Amino acid sequence: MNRRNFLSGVGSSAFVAATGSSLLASNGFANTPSIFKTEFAAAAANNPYLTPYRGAASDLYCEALVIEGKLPTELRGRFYRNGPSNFERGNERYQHWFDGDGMVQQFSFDGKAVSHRGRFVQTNKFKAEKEANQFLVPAFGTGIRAQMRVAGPDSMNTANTNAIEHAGRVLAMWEGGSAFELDPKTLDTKSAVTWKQGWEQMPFSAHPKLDPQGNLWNFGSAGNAFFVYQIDASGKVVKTQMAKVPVDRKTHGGMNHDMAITERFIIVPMPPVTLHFDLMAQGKTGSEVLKLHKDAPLRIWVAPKDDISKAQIFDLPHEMVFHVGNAYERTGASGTEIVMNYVGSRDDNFLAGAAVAIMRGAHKPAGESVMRTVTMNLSSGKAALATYDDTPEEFPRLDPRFIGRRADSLVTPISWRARKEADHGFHGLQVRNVDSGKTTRFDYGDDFIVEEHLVVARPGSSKELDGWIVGTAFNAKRQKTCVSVFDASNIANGPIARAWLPYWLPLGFHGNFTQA
Amino acid sequence: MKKYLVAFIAAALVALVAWDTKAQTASACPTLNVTGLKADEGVLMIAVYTKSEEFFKKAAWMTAQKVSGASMQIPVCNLDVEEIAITAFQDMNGNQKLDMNPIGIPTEPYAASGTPAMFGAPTWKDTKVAYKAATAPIAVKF
Repeated sequence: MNRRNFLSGVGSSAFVAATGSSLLASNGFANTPSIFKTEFAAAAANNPYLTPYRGAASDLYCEALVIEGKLPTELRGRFYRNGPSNFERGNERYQHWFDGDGMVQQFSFDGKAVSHRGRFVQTNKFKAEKEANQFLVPAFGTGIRAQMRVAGPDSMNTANTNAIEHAGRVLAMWEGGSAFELDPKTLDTKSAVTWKQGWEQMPFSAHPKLDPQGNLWNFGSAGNAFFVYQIDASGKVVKTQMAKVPVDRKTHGGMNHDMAITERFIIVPMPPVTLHFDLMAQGKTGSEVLKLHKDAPLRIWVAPKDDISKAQIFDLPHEMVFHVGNAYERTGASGTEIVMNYVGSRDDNFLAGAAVAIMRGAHKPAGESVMRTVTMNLSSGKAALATYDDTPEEFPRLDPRFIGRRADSLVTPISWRARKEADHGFHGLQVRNVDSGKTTRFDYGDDFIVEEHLVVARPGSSKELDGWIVGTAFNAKRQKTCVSVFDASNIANGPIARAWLPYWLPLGFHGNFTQA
Repeated sequence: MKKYLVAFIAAALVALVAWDTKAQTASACPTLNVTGLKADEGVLMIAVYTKSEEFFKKAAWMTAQKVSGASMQIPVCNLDVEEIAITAFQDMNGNQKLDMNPIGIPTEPYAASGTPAMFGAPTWKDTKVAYKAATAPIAVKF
């Protein structure tokens, strides 16, 4: 495909579309006093569960967290997390949870103690807006009138979605533009990462996957254009690819968030979601701007890693998908199949409802978000879908040694009962056997909001779940955040150790653990 | 988006046309004050438009000059018009076009006269400035 053809096919991606329109020119609606700010402040004063949505005022450091229980001496390394952590400037408050500036949290484990460092990613946007004490560029879900040159996606990049240490550098990732590189020792921001000359500001998604050889695989998308990156264990780009994806941009392309790998394939769910920046520019938010098309399918893009132009598409009933659990290949009498777990929601209650409402301190139901299994037959082109149950869960992770291979277990924060005060956020942790569906659970209790938990392998072991499950939770009663460490093979007994910060952290999205 | 891409593609194509590389020096010429350049790197490419319908399509005058310092003063002479609009980019690799990444985002610095929109591509309306009646240097901020 020549470049001109390629260009003409690009354009409905949220961030790219934003840079190319002048629709936020002069309406000025965001300059009026923010109802989000006043309503949130009033609600947060009376609801201790809303504290993390205040955002962090500054960088944070704690030399030694208070340890309950006993830390495993073999659990050593750096646990990173990232999430939206600044929501307000001047009179303004963002109107969508996803808008906040990224802050990378690093918990360092040495086998006896845990220290913490949290630092905002020094994106151009963050630095300029901090200096001006006002928002200067449009955000994902808030129509801010641009008052600073928007020269591409990185002018609006918040680097707020995930963090991983790879090849000696910490990558703070967003979805519509570059990853930002941070120093693992200091979390100093170095710069936006350009993987290849001429690929400045290209979309680099926030859910790369590590294969057993240490290759980091990632994709980026802009409208119906897909890009795939393969970065080797030394941090060098082995290969980049680009291809067009056959989807109708009237119904798809607004948000392709996560991906899976198998031994030979890369897989991206494409939910039927569009983002309407023209409406946002008129001051609209939520479901008016972010639209789930219930008459269009969820499309799953399955591409050979070595040649993504040979992709196959599988259609499933309409569904919003943020996150995949894992995927693997199996070959039997009916040919080769790819089996993938993902969390799906038949509504957009979270994306367009709850994630907006929470920013004004209000509560809306987050929707179903349940775990499903799709089996895609590469010979017949047919897909079969199964659902375990209707209990809401999210942020699935697995033993990282089994990414792309058959694994027994997925770990998720989950809510299986209603809560009196905090009906948003998860109260429990679950390990599910993906074949039998059997679950093991631990209930954190009413005081906690439970975040993503990771599996960390015991050094030298190759057995799945031989190791620990590590994750953060906010405690509303103590107004503090803790890191819990579970024996991964037995979470029901509760954490074997807990490290308490002397402060709370903003709720985050995703992270990764780098073993020392 | 498409408009934006087309505009930059057009600019890139225009840039491929022959350039007047001699700086014009007549004393009565209004001067462009180009600032914010990456000092001493690459070539400053300037296109001057005199009509709304020709904006980003057909430049009335163009120049390419090796970048010296972070700011440059460039006279624009002998145009019989009241208003002009200027677009510029810094050609860092000397290939005489505004380079873009695969999704059409410029990867070299660019600028325009007037008060170009912070968001999206420059337009005639945003960038036009007085020419004949200009009393001060015309600002082009990178």
